[in-house]
Amino acid sequence: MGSGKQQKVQSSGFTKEEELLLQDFSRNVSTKSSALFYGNAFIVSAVPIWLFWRIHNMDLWPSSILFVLVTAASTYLMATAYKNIKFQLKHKIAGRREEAVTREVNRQVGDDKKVTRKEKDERILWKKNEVADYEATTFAIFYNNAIYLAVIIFISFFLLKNSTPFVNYIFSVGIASGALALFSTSAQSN
Amino acid sequence: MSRQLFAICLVAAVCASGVYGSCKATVSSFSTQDATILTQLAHVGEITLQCSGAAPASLFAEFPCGKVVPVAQVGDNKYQVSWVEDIKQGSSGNVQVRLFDEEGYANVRKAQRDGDKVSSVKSLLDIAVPTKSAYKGPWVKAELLAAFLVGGVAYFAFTTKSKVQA
Repeated sequence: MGSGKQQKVQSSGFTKEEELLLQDFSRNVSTKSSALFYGNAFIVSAVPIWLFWRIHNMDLWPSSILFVLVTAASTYLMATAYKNIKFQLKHKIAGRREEAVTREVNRQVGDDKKVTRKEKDERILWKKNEVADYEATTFAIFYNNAIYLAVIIFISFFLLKNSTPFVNYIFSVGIASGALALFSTSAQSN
Repeated sequence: MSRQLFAICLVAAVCASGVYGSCKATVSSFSTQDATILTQLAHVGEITLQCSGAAPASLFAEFPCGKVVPVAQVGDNKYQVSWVEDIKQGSSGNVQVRLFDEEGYANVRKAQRDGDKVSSVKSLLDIAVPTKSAYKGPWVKAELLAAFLVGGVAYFAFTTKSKVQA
């Protein structure tokens, strides 16, 4: 496995450092992040089930197939939105945190003569990426969840209040998660 | 001093219980408490009469709106008068009800036929039925409150994202 990866690195023409840097700024997220995203997406997608079961008086068991299908689709769309928003924000956050991270690493390293200039720069880069990754991940989850729940409440209670709960559920959850996934793919103009 | 006190107590008791002529009435009432899923409010007044002689066989009640309805007898010397009103017009407070016996009711009908004022007809006794207002739901609907709260959080999230990306 390790040799295969090495071959891939060699065949792509990048050094190991470059490959790591590319990985940090790629759209692909780690398995841990992916699990976090899908877990959060599932929880927030399952919340409307309670809303439509208890408040909109949908029958739980007869509608369970619909709930499962819509929740699964919504989970996928929300996880996609998380990933895209995280990718959008990570670069910006990294730029904003660079100065503070550099200051902190310089303070930690201090006058340690053993640490070379290159090693210090690598530490700053690694720390900066770590901070940006963490902040972008948490903010992407917060942002998407907030907008998703706001859109669902607005559509289900006001826009489609006269519709049947069946139609209301499909459209409110579908529109909320679909719109978030769609708009998360938009590129920032500046 | 004790005579004056007794006289004051007697006047107060007469005013509170409504002793008119030879009958004394004690009123208890019930009003609809929860009107969240109703279209009309109901009020029931239960009157216990204590008359020096025989209690009237039948009673009639006249409401402030001028409507006259028969009063149901629910027990010995116990009568019940009830009415409904629209939730929007529902109010709390005492409702003045004039009670008539059969002779009084005949006089009321006669006054109505002749176009005279019904208020000029002497009633058996006047009672005040206390009514209470019903719970019509919260002032602010839960979904509106939820929408504002989550809208505020979403606005904060949106503006923060814009600031980060600026």
